[in-house]
Amino acid sequence: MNFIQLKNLTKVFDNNEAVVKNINLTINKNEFVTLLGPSGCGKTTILRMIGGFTEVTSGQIILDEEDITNLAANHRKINTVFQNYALFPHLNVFENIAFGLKVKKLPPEEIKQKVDKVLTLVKLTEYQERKIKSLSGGQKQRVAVARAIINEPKLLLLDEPLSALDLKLRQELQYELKDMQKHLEITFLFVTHDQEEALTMSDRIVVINNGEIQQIGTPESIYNEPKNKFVAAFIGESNIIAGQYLGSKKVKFFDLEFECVDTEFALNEKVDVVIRPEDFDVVSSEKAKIVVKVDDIVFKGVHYEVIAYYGDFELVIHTLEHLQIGKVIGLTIDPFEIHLMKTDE
Amino acid sequence: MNKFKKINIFALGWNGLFIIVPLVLMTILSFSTTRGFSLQEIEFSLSNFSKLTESFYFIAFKNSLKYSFITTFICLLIGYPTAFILSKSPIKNKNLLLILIILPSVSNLLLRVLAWEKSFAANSILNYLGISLNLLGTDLAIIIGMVSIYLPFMILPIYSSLEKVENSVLDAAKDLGATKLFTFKKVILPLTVPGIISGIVLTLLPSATTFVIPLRLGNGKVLLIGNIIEQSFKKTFNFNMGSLISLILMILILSFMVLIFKYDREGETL
Repeated sequence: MNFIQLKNLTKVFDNNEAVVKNINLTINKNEFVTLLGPSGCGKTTILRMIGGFTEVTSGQIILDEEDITNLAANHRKINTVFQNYALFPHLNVFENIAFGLKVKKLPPEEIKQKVDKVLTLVKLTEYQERKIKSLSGGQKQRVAVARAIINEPKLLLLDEPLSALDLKLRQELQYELKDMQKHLEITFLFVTHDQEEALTMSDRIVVINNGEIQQIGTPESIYNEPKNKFVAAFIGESNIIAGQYLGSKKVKFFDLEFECVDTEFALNEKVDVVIRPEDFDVVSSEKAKIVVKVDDIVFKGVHYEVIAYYGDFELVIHTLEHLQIGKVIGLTIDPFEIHLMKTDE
Repeated sequence: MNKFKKINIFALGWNGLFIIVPLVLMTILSFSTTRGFSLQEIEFSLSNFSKLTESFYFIAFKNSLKYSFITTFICLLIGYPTAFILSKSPIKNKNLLLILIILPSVSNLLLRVLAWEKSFAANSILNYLGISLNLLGTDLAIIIGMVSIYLPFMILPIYSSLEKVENSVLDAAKDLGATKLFTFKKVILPLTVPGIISGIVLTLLPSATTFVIPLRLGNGKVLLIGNIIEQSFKKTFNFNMGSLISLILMILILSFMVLIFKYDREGETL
């Protein structure tokens, strides 16, 4: 275990701007880990430091018990799938994929054999003679993945590899990549700003903002138990309400008392209460503590998104029921769906 | 639309007057013997072609090839590394460096050639420094002159093709384990072939047809095809021979360009 370790990894650019601050992260062998965060949060810089393309200001990168912090990129047993594919425009599909093996001076028969195998894996066998220019976005993506995994890296870095593709293709490739990762037993470190992508593919998600880790956890725990306001707001939709912990699994918000399941707070401690829009149950007004009037309804396909105001506070509610604007409804929440977080202040 | 039509007619007239008419005249002159431009005693014949075999023309043609190839080769040898260093330079204002390279080309060609001529002479301003180059009339003088004048035409297209190579592609090569040398040989060089070709065209053609440089720096001893043409019109008044050689040169250059265009289907070279 502890296959990859980032120890106090920090990057300060020439203009004294710290883009990555003191990152500590451990990744296990064959794990699929996603760095998730908004653009400019430093996730790509972390990836580039691991890949060897950006110098580390301070801290350590350890891969399989070897300190690779200052090793040149071409000596690291790491391969990268770049954001804009970065394929060699003068080479065809076969030659692009074979590049890494040619660097290693493998005999041509062995190269051919290995490339054929990878071509089958990414379903591009008929395209091997094609010029890169004539490929579609999805095909280019497959070539980029094939070109990286053929080298059997210890770690595969993927820098927003699907961001340029349309939704359907993106989803398709998400499953394929996940499959491939299980199959090949390669450790994947994936960078994305798309929370849905992160939730779908990852074994663990590392949420990053402003160059700092906000939370590390499984997709379920990140979604259900966000550690702070940023994570709650960034992953999925949520209603974040200021509240107070009353002790013995009771919390007060909207000046009402609710039962909850969290216990790790002090008596009368101020907390942020997170309620996911789909966790509200719509009931008739006399059966609930929270009573609101429907302000707006948007049809979202599977569900309706209902906007309602409790006082001045805008609540977002997802429900399967078709309500009428202006209707007065009651909202109940199961105790285990009320999630408390420490306030940021 | 009307406005465009007018411009078109103007362009057509301009081309006709300054390209088609001279071409027709040259063709007529090539296939005839005349006394200067006077067409009164015109006699159509192929006698000009038989004169082409005279060793005099052959030597000039050979010289043109020799000097232009040597010049182009040296320009490539100096130009590629220069362009490479320039494109990799960490200096923010690369355009300034580029301008410094182009700047001499903006000054008058004749002036630059004369400057070389004065410095190459046995008695020159360099005598004050205890140097007497005394190079006039040598191959070296002509080649230094040619290289200095045509070098920017080699650097610029190579530089722009180097700038087009994306950094991410170089990162990818590094990522796949390639050393700097491997990356250069297998990625950078192939991707800059279009720039190299246009650099070669842009130096080869003018250096093959120049007449000022050999005239001044060769001290009149070395004749290139351009000198023959110049002399035919200005000294011997053999307009027929001058026209014929010009035409042949033109056909050679055009076929060279056609070859390049055929090779370069993607239109990146010129």
